[in-house]
Amino acid sequence: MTADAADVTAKAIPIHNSDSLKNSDSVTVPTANAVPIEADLGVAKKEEQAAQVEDVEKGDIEVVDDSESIEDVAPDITGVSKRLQQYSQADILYAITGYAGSIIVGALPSGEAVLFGMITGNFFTIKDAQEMRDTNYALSMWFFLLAGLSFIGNVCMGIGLGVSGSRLTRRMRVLVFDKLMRNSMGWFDFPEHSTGELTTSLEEDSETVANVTGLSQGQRIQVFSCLAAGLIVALIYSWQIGLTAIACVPLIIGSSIIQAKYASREPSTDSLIKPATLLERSFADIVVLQAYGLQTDVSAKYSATLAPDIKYKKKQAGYSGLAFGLSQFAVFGTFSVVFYVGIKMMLSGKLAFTDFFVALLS
Amino acid sequence: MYLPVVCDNIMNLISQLIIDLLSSFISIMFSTFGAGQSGADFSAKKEGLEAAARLFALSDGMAEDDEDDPLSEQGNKPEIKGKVQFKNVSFAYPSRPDTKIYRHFTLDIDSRQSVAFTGRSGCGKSTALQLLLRFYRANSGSVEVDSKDVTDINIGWLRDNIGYVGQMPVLFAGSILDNIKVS
Repeated sequence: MTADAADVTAKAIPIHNSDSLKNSDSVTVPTANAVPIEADLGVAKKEEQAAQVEDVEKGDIEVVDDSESIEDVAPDITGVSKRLQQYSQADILYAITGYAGSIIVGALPSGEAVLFGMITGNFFTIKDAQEMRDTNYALSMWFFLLAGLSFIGNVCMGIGLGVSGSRLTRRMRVLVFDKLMRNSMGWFDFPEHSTGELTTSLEEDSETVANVTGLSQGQRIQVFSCLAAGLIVALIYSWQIGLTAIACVPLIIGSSIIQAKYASREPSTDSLIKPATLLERSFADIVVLQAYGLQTDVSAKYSATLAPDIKYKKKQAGYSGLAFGLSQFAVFGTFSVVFYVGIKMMLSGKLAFTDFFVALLS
Repeated sequence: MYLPVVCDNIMNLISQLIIDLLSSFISIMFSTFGAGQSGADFSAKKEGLEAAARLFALSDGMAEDDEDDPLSEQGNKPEIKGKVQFKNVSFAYPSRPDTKIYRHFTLDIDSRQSVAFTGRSGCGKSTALQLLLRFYRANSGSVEVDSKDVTDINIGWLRDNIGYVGQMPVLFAGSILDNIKVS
């Protein structure tokens, strides 16, 4: 692939001289002391890939080192929020509509709970059939209102956040693409700026950015609205139960924090070639690949480049499993505590009633 | 006579207490379930911010006033006649700094003169064009057009004055005429 520098001479041969030139020999024919950088594509690929095949066969190529090479490198996110805010400023109305929808949707379960409580309670308190009919008719109207709110809330959330999220994604894509195209040629030569890497980044990362303002953010707002509304209703109906539940909130929030804390750390590897780059090269040089029958080997190599990702995903799966388990534990733990307190109160209420009755009779 | 009324009232009170407890309890149950059902992912925001940070890092790589930016306003816009000179140029591609392409390379091409480069693959034929178009900067020496260093000429202006047909010609969608108009 490499030739001796002195061996190679670039010749400038005049193929056409304009009239202004009297003597074609007057053209300076330079000698370039050049060392080839790009050998003939076919030969280069053949040698390189043959070498790779050999290495793979010998087991020399360990595209990915073991756990040592996988480090958790999280990019610095300070100031990023602010910049994103600037970029999403134009869609602020959509975002506000969406967040309002999220708050409404979040508060619905508590409204449902109130109605449900009334229905159950009516069986205890109402003795008259007509009164029961009237009350339940009114309740069904309330449920209808709930249905309407649910419709409006979900529509607002879907449209508002869908639009604001996808617009942010598009803005990021265009912004980054605009900038990337202006980089100098040398920048594109580096493997980390290969076509594959850049396309993947533009596609995947831009899509993920929508998580900050889009539907994903709406869902998080929905959770807070849901818990807040639930606690407020609980406090209104029974402050003891409400306070008990509030005491349990850190449990629920804590599990979410664990989930957020351990998530999303990108794996970085010492691997020479990344999956996206490998794919790009394979498809770009598909002729060479097929001519030399390298499909199986390249496929094996591709599989190897994906290993750190799988390792990372496995780790992620562990963390999210743990976080989900914890959050479920928190939810049911809250139920058990609240129920325990409730029963205690009920019993003490009954006890008070019996005491009172006995006292009255005596 | 009096007692049943009191009893009734007390019974109602207790029923009310039970209903309140029930409502309170159901409210907590429903809202926690509702929160679980929302599908909210608390790691998603961080993922989004990290993705944005990566994209910003990628797009911030180039300084705003970089004179190698094809849209840069810097540099002169002289009338170009087309005399090309490479003076003592040494060059290696930035991604492979150890592989020297040129060591003290000198070349003179007069205006209106047609020249072909021949040579073995990798000997630096394309590199000459890439240096002329200022895709790269020479490590030392200078590439000059009409005795002006290409690095002093506005990059967009320089490229506007050079017709370039790459090794892999690209046709954009549209007619041949449209494609000629692009270049």
